[in-house]
Amino acid sequence: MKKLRDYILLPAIILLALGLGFHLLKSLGETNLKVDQFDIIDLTDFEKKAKINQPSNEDQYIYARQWSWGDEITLRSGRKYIVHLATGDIAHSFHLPAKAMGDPVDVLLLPGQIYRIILQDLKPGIYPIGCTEYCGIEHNKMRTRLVVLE
Amino acid sequence: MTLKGECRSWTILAISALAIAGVFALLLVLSRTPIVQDLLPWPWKSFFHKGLVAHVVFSFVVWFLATLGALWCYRLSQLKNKSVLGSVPIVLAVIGCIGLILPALLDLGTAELNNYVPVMDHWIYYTGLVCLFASLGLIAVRQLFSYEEFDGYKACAILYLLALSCFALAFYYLPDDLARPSYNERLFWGGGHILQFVNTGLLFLTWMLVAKESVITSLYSQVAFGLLVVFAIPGVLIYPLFDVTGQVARDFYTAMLLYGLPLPSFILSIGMASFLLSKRSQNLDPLSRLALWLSFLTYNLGGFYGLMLDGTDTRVPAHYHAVIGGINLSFMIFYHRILLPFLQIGFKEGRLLKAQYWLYGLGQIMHASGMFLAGSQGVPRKTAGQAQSLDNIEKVLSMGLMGVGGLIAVIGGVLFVIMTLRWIIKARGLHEKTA
Repeated sequence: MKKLRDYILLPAIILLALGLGFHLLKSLGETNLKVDQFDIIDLTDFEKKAKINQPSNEDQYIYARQWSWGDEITLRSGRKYIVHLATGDIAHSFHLPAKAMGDPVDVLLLPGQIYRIILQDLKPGIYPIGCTEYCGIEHNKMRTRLVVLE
Repeated sequence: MTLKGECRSWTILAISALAIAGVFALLLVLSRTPIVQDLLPWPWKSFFHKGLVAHVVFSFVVWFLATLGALWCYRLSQLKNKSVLGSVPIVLAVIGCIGLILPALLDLGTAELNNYVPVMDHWIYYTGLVCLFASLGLIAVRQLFSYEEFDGYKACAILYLLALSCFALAFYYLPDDLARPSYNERLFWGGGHILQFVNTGLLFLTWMLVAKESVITSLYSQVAFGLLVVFAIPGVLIYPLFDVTGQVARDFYTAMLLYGLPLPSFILSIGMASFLLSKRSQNLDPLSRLALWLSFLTYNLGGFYGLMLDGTDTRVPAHYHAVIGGINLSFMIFYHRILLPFLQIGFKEGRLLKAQYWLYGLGQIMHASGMFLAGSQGVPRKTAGQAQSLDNIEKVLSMGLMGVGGLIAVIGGVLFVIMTLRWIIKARGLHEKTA
């Protein structure tokens, strides 16, 4: 009887392990949304653009540095936004929780690069924007808010 | 030095690590207390973060690794093996621990609270870490070549050596000009994740030792430990294939925990649940049964919370506090029921000992659950005061539960350290007298 149980359980465990292993390998390099990456040309210009946040603008700029994302960002639901992200100092990671769009957004920002993502189908609400890459002693204070209006 | 002597030394180091962590916690409080902070002989502003690094590294890294050392020596002495290495590993580990303390006390270097192995950016601290890791590396290699069959102890040795390989590969591939916070984060990122596989293996081993009867058959035990090793191996291969500073490498290790840990944990947890619910567990003494139940519940609660993480809120610490709490409970009962009797260290049974487990277990469950509830409502992690934005009663109550639970757990933890250390010191006195 015990052997019969083993004949069922062991293949089940092996199948499950293979499935998990497959998902692990499949996750390699996989992101929830498409991220385009370019070399940064003018960081000062990027920083200037990041200071202007109009929900009516299709292009939004978010400039990260130790330990700030800049001011609160206001967008409208039902619209499509092209969000440009860059860091002015060391590596940071832009994180928006799943509640905002259905899937979490997490983009690692390395110095010298601009990252472009599309935010759409945003649900009305207030969401925290955080940094998920350790970036110094005040890393946990690096937060701002995304306000999505109706 | 005999294996039993080595085992005693690792036990003393493990419990002392918690005591040192406790002293640093106290110094942290004092360094933020008005008037008292001015009396401390070092700059309190820089001490706060350095003290925090020392507290975390002793309560998490040294405590876990020293217990790993004690477990390996215990296993080999049960097999009647000889030490071979003598006192070299333990001396290295002690030198390492001194290196980990000095920068905080002498105000040297800069503190970095990066994940898994927080650091003081100073050569003394790094030398301390190298000595500590190397000491365990030596006994891991000894474990691999001491006997033939594959078991949980060997699995932990392989996992530990994989983690060390990741640290070495990260050191090799990381560019020297990387900013220090990013450098330290990436240096310990991959190996730090694999150390969590080691910690899971340690939990399984201590569960099986305390239960005395087989929680699962040796076949399923080998499958569970084998799976831990198989899922950790790709962690080493990432370094030559992908940019060590990039997103692919970073996210892979998170996925490795997500896909690699649940199945072995599920196999052992099912075995442990069926054991605890069966008549076989009635043969165990009530304290062991209580501790195993608390460890099982706390660990699995942490695993459950881990399935619902999203970013930077307090659900992240809720997950790891519960998981670590579950592992700590299994270590506590492992020391009280297996190692202290093995080392002929007498100890007192009683209400206080039982209370310690209830306080630590329930305290951790309350602490983690409070954080999980608060995090579900968006309360950010590692913030205080207004930054927490506790703007409704649910958030306030959740954080209240977290605070009360944390306090209760600390009382349980302090009781464990004081009682166990007292018994060890007392037994040492007795041994010296009889010698």
